[in-house]
Amino acid sequence: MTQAWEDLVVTATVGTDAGRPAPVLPGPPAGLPAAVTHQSDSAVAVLDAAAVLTVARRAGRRPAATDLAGRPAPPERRPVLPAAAAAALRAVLGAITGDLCPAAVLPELLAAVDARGHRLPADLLPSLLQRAATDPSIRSAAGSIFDARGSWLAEQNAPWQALAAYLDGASGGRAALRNWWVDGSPAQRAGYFTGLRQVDPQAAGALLAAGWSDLPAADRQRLLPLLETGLSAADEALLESALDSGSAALRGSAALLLAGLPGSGRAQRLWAAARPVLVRRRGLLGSRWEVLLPELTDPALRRDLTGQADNRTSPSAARGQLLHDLIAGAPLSAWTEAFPVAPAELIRGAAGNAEWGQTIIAGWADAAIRQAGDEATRASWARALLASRRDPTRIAALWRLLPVGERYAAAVDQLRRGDPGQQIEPLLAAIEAPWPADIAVAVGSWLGRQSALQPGYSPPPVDRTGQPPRPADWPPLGLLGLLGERLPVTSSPTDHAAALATLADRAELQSPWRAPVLAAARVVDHRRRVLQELR
Amino acid sequence: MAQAWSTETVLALAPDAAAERAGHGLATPRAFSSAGSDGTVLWGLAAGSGQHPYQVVVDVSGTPSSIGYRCTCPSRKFPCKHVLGLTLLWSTGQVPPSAEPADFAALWWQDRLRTTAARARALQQAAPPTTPNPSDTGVASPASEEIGAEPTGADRTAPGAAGAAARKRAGRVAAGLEELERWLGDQVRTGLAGTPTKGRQHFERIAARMVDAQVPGVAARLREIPAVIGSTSSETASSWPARLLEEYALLRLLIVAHRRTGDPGDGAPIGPEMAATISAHLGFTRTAAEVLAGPPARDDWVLEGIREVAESKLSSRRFFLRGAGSGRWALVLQFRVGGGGWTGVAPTTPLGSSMAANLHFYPGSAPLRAQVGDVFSAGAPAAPAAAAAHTIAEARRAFAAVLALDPWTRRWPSVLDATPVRGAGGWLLVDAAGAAAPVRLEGTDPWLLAAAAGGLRSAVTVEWTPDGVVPLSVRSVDGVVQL
Repeated sequence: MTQAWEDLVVTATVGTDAGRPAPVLPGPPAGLPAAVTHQSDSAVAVLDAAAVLTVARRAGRRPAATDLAGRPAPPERRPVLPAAAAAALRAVLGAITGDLCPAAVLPELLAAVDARGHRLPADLLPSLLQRAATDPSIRSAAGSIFDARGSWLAEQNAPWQALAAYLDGASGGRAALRNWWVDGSPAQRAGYFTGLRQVDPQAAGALLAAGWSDLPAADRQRLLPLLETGLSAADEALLESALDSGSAALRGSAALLLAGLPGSGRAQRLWAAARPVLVRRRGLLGSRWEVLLPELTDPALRRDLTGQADNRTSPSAARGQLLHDLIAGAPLSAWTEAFPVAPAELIRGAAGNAEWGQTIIAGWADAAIRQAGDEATRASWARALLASRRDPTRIAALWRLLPVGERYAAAVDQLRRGDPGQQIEPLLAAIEAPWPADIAVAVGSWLGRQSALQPGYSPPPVDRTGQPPRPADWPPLGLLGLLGERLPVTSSPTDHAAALATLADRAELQSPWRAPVLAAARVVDHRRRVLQELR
Repeated sequence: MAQAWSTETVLALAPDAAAERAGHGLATPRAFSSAGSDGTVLWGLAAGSGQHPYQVVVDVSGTPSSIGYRCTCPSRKFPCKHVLGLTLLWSTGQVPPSAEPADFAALWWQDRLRTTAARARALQQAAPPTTPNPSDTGVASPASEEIGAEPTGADRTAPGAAGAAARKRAGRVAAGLEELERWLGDQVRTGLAGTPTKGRQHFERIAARMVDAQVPGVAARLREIPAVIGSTSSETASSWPARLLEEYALLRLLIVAHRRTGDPGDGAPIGPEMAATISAHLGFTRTAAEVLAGPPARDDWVLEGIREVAESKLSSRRFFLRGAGSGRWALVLQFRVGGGGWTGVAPTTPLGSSMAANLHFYPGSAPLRAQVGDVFSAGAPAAPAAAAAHTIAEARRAFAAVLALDPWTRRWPSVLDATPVRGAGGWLLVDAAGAAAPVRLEGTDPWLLAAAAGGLRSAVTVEWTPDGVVPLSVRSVDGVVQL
């Protein structure tokens, strides 16, 4: 029959007019009238024979046999999330997909699932594995909710394999994944390494150092930056050797990581060059500060500042970059030890230099943010840097260096003062969900005082010159977004979603603040539905 | 007032690259005289080779997917370059607003409103007029014939003239199918070799003739052919000449079958069920009321799968039900035009549960499509599906049995007892005997299938096709998961 079909296909492809000998057609099924079975037209005869064979082929096409078999997922350890909570979580995921809710709400909700000791139902695994694979905050908040089936599934899909290794490590570790390090794909190797690094940074560092000389260049470039997790003095030797690498990318990664280790040899070498930058002159009117820019041409120094100077930029910008890296890499605590003054005084001194002051201050900010070590020193620098208001780009990161209570107090203070939303946003961004009640109350009364949310508000007319309306009318979208994500979820009557909705209802339709406030109310509501089911 | 569309979405309307280029070339204010837009309709005159300029009208009141248009140029491309050019021009804000549409634009718009209203009424009253047939899920939607420029407008005839109208229609159908028969013969006489290079137009032309002949089911089959012969997804699928010959042969079979319904000649007579199947495949529709007047099939119907197919104009929801007592399958459809509400009665039971109800099947030799009649109770937990699950060999035999009754069937529901496994060429469902059916995803996430089954043999509801299975739902440890 196969032969008959293939003959028919060839005949039809070249055309019956081409004069090819007519194929041998299969006999017609019984019961057809003579007019159908005895076709004088050879084209029609081909079609009729093809019809018989087509149906036979469709009915008879046999699936192939295979020796592939599924590898069953190991048994789950946790009970499944109750149906009502799962339904609420599905609704949130739907809203996130539809852009009605920010994905940033997930770590809090999933952590709540984790805290109750539940696992995700199977249907939620793919979408949440996908999110966790790209958002480390989810896996650290709630890795266990994926349970056995989640790790099993993640192992099979390349984009999730790093996560699989992490989940696997978090749940005790299995030898099977160790093979990935030796003969897995580069992605699997990186996945295994990421997971091990999360669980046992020392062992992961030792594994990388031991295999370093045998690893292909691409693997080195992929793996070295992963040392950022769990970075410690134990990694210094490997990073130091990478500073001599032929690859600029590797040197750059190594320098960036070493900048996080204030006790490293590199930090000490940079300090030697950084210290003379700031000079204190005592005069009649007290001390005066001078900035003396070093040459920065010493080959040993350039080795430490490698890879960071971008030769596409102007010489002056390149010099600024070197100076920044020098300051950011030198140990932060050394400054107040060398100059027995408060950080604020040093910042004031550096700021006196119009050309390089800003660069030095940015270097200190990055040192405070990146360098592991003495919390009190970092906090005192962060406090001084924030007070100086000289580095607008790193405010949220600097606030995070301060104790939680201090952040809370500062936030309440700023809200009571009625600062503009755009100014408060970085501080509130540094306060994780859920916000404590006093911040929530302060935010509510701050919103209640905003003119754009008052009844009777009318937006300033946009004049013909296209002049923008008053800045006070611009909604601080970042801040209003944070409200939805972080306001605490409470049961009525102090429900914040309802309070926000009331504010928005009261506001005029044309107020540009109305829609983002309503959106925030919806987001709080989404969170509440999940969290209430988990109570 | 319509929101201007982006250039990309307008260009996406182009039937081919050449039209896209030509449309781009015409998107200048110079190409159109007296162009204007009232926010709902665009119009303009384009200079052509003839004496009179071409009249171009475009309905931009909705989204690009609901575009309607007319151009008096002789091009057989839809939309033609003039429509594309004018719409592009508008999308970049270069068509001047005007409160007063040109006469030809106003006339066309009124006409369009009338036909749209008539179609909406028809949808309210009846099953969607263009549903080709019950067992056909096909790639192209039943709505595909509505996307063309000129709404054909259903004939509405007074009851007294019903007999005459039926005769008139029968005459049109017979003539249309004869034309198709000649066309099919010509294809095979001259050879299929050049067909792919002829493009979509080759099929569009004959499909448009079949719409005129009032056999929209045939038109839909013809319009699906480019996708059928162009698809390379399935490993079991044969090469395109074979697939094309299959499609032509089944059309020829339909023509012969239709002719023999009226006059069986000296062959076996065609029974009423087969006749109903043939007319369903031709695209003759039945109203829901007609179907509900037929005999009920009472059972505990388990909702085994739901699939929503969103198309530009007509979206459909397909509910797959399995009779717990009879083992019989039923397919209930709902349709939605544009952003409107769903028409048709949906099963009232959640996925994986069962409802005691009367279903009324559309008549046919292998009935599948049904209307929901009386529902006695719903939401009962369904008996374990494992009892109903089949091996792959059993599912294939069931499909073969259906083909013996309705040779035009493309797919048939089934519950397989199988494990999803990732093979080198794609996902497979492997049963206990080691038989593997390739999985045709059609938009479903294979990882969801894998997650729900957990590497274990599970009851997977699928649509069986000769080229593989389309998964619909899985019974997992955590309940029924819709794919």
